Amino acid sequence: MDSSMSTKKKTKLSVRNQTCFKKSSLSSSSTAKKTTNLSMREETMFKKALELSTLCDIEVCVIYYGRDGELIKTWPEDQSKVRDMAERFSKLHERERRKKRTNLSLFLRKKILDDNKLSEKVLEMKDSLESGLRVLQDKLLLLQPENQTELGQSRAVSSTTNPLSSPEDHHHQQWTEPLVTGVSNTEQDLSTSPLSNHQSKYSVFVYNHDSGSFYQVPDSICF
Amino acid sequence: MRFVPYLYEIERLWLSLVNYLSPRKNKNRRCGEIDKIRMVKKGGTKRKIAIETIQKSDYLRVTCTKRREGLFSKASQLCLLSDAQIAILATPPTSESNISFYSFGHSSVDAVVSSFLSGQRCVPLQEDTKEMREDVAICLSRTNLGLGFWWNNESLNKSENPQEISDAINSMLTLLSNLKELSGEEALVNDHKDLKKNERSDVVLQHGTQYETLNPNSNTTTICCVPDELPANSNEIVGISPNPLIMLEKKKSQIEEKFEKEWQVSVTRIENEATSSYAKRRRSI
Repeated sequence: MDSSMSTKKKTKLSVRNQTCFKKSSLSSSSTAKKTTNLSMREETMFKKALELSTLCDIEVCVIYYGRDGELIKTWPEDQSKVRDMAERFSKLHERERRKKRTNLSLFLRKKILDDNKLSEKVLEMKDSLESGLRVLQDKLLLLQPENQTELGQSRAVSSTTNPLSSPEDHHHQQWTEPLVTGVSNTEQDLSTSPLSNHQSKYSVFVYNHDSGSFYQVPDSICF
Repeated sequence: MRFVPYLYEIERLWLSLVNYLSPRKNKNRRCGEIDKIRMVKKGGTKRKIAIETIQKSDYLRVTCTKRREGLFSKASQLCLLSDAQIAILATPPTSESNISFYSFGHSSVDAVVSSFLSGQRCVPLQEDTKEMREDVAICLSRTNLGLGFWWNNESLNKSENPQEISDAINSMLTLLSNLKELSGEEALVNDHKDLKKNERSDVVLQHGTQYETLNPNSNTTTICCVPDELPANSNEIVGISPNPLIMLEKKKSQIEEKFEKEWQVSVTRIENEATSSYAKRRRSI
């Protein structure tokens, strides 16, 4: 019994040490991590294609070009099969092709809408976006008068037109926003039928209204 | 006499060690690294299925759908990380389907497939296209992969070029409006889910019909006109059925009372905030 206990402890420690070592080696340098991850991800994708075709008894082909436009790899390896399938695809009518066709933007959008934690991520993104926007706007205002002095006479005319247009845009946006949000508020409040949802929207609106500045008010109304 | 039991004990211990080690080896081959840790702690319950054709059509269809989505997901991650262009074509599981191919592509399926057939190289993607910048889904997915938001980029924050900064500001404003649109879409999805959870389908249908009639009026006129619609709606309610009538009336009256109160409060607050913030910004400019 004593010997078996000691062997158990040894195996546990050895397993944990291995995992720690692997993680530390991966995190040693970012470039190495990225390349390692990319090659492993490629293998994973092709492996998943193999599994899908085998399990469901269907034909799958993957065409993989690198960032520089070179053809890196295809699955299956035999390009004649891939070419055959690609030709069948290209011969289809456009309407047939459009069915069940997706690209990166649409696929990710659908994936995000199915996610239950969307509201948290959206709020984080919105906060980051708004803070970044303020920083850049302030920086732009600082830069424009400096450029007037730096640039020559011909460019001075174009630089003078820019500050005239941008504050007008600001005024226009600020002026129109409350009206639009008011209308959307009425629509959404009327459309919501369950009581709980109705109450939750009001509580969100009141809370944001108290803590935030005016810039955030229409956002809270939209929710 | 003394040496015989000693040897017997050694042999017994050796056999117990061998038996102890061998099944773990067998188990480890089936599981991944994370499962190894779980195996050590809890004894593990996960098993990977054998990679062979599934016989039952129902299981086959479900597996096909899920694994296809998984494959597309892996491809999308690879596209975001390495700016690669990928096209995936898959046939439907049954020949009776009216769909010819399930396809995923970046930049687009047609572009990649036509490049492959012609034997030429793909046109390489620009790293910061306007479409990629202003797409909410792509920005969120990049964040999940650890790439961060593009407006927090160091080169952008340090640049002194007003043209670049103004372009970034325009993209960010567009992205913000797209984000609001997406939030609205999500709200619709949630409302749909909530409606499904309601106990009575009759109540749901009637709610839908009522508020559809109310919506256009709210757009054109003020809130004072809302009570005028009561008799028409009450007539409709009477005509439909008596049982949900009472419930509908109660809910409607409650909603209207709360709506009027909150609306008045919100209008006053919005006006105050708008005037104050407008004055502040005008002074600053």
